Amino acid sequence: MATFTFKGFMGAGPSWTDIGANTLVFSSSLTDLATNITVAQFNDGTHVGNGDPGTDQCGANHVNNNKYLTGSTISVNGGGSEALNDTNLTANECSLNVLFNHGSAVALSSVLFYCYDGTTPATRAPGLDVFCFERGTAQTAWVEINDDSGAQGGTGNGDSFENRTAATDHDYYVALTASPEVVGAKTLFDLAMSLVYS
Amino acid sequence: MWIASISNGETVQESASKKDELSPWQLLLMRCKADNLRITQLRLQVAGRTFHAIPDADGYVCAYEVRSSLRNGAGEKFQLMGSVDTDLGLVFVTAVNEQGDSWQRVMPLGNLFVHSTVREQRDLIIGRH
Repeated sequence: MATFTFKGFMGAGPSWTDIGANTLVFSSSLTDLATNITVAQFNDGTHVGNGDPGTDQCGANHVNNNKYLTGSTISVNGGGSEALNDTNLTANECSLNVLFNHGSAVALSSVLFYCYDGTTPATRAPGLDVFCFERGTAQTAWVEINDDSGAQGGTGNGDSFENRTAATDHDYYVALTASPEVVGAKTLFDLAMSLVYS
Repeated sequence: MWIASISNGETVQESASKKDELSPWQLLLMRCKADNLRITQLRLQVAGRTFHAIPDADGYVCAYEVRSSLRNGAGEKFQLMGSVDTDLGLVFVTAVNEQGDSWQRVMPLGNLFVHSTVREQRDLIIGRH
């Protein structure tokens, strides 16, 4: 049976923990998920909340914050600017781990990580710029997966992930960063992964 | 469930996946390469309906397409069956959901290469797609 598990590096330990029925929340504070991000700024905090944003479900340690500085630089948990690469960003510093598991060793293709409005996979999330970075594949730049004002997002503008060789577990470590284009809550915002396996 | 007719007259159908082994489809592709056999016809049976691929195609594809969202785990699952046209570099795909509803698409062979009869064994290792 094929399953996806979305995890945050959080809680006691911290350790990679299933987000479950909660969701990822971007805020402007490392410790408070309810502090809004100013328009055109990027997240200074990443959390797991049980609503929009709901209450914080991170536990003792909050989810790692990965902040866009430039197209090829990052701030991790409020630290200084670093070149975005696999050396500077360790797996346990990423915002998200997506695990695709199958009991058999399956080969993958068309592995797509994308941002959408939470209803229609092809429709971009309104009012948001969102970038991601797949760690472990020698990338050195953010990939923009949602740009509402630029009419980009949804399945048509996802990031094609690289880890596809035949295996039972495929782990994707992902840095994520988001910025509002306009004022207001961003509830029409979700992230998803699609792939083909055999 | 896929059902494949192969060139030695045998009919092979999809069995349950076994833990840590390659999938039944990938095992069939390996066997065909090893024994110099080819698939001559492919069918898909889902929810009591049977879908037929193009007979004697240049090659065939079988795979599953899945999607899951972070927020609530909502997702979809389709079983894909395709007939390969190597000259065109295309796969004529029938996608069937668990209720037996079907959709047809044309996809580049490159997007489905690793799931196709035209792949080589090493493509499983290097992740060619």
